[in-house]
Amino acid sequence: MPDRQHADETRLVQQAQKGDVEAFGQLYEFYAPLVFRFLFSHLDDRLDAEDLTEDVFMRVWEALPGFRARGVPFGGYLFRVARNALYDHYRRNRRRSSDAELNLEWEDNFHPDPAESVPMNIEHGELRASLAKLREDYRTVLTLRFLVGLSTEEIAVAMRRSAGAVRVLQHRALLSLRQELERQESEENDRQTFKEEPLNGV
Amino acid sequence: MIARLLKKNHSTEYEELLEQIAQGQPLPTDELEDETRPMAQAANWLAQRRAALDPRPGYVRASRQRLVARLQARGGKRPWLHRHWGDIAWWQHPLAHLALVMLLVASAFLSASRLAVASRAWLPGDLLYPLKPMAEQAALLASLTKEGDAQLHIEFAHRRLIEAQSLVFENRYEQLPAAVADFDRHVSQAVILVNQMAGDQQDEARSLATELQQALSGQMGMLMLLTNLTPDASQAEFQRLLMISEDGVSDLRNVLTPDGGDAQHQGWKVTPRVSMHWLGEG
Repeated sequence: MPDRQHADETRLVQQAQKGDVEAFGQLYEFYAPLVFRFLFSHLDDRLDAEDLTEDVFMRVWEALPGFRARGVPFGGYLFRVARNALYDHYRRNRRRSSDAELNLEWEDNFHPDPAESVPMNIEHGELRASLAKLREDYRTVLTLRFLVGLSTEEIAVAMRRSAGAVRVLQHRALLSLRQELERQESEENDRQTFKEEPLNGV
Repeated sequence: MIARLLKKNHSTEYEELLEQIAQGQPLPTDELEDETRPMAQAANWLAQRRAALDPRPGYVRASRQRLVARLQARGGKRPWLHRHWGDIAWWQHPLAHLALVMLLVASAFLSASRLAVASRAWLPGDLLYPLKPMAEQAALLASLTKEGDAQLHIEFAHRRLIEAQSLVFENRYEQLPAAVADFDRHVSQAVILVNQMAGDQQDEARSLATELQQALSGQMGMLMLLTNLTPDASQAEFQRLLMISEDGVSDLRNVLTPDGGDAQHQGWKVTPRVSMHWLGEG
């Protein structure tokens, strides 16, 4: 993740609050990949994640005059908006996007280079399948921490919790993910054994 | 073992290790202790898959141009409400302060108890409903301790739940999002205050945590029942209410089980039950 200290974030936020579109553009260029990662980790469709990323920034632009830093990190604020936008998206597309109906045979919408995109799609599918088995708050904290790279304090703002509560949540989420990965590995081993058995018989 | 791990969770080395992984640095396998290895490996598994979530090449630049052009076409202007209020909470606005003073003056002519009793029946969307959160805000301003604030937030969260249920009974689903959002705000504030108190006022914090936990879990049965009764369009709101309640209960485990939260593995669960006390009040 790029070093946000060098982005002169506070100055850009203040300029954007006054209506400076270019300053907001710089904030967008810095944060859009992170917001996209967060959203894409919750969605099957890359185009949905792209649309929603732009929607998040439009919401932030409109609400920015009301943002008062006072020790609140902009990143945390931004991801709080992103989380709300994601809930709204689920609400609008409940049948299509709900995790209960997670379609693992998702289709890719963009093929820049088949040699590169196929492994990436497999990894995205693996991620979605593993994360979908976790509770929503576990999924959110793990995504924000290890896929987006936010600090505990930023996640606390995004999830409206204390930093201590986020640390405990993160620990429990990691434990849960670990158990899920072990379960998947065990199932995979069972499948391999099942495939090999007929050959052994021959 | 879980208790030891959670203590470890707060240790500096463990936090530093997770921070390194979050920043994309390789996992130092040799130095890992047995207790931290499973968590560190799970975190590393995620961090290694970060590239699979990257936007396609050129997307950020192209979408930035699109966004900037869109905003410039509007002259960089924002909708009037946002320009003047932004997402500032209404109670922080000078007009709200003025209204609050007027309310306090008006309430001097009314019996406070009559107002309180009457306001219980007011639901979001009612003509007089705006007085209710104003009176609640005044009560919060008058409270001088964290314990008092937490107590009030618990009470107000309870009121929002009752209001949400009443709205469903009256088929006024359009008002549900406002009640849910306010419920979320009060639960979050109560949880934060209780967690803050856990450091130096352990007994009071535990007592409040128990009260809030019972209040939240006590309503889950009713919420689950109502989720099935509401139309599809409103079910998301009830699911959100349930999620906020579950989150709140989860966040209180630290206070209720300060030895490290083994409760999760000792079979401690939110027990859906209907609180007759609350239902009676509603």
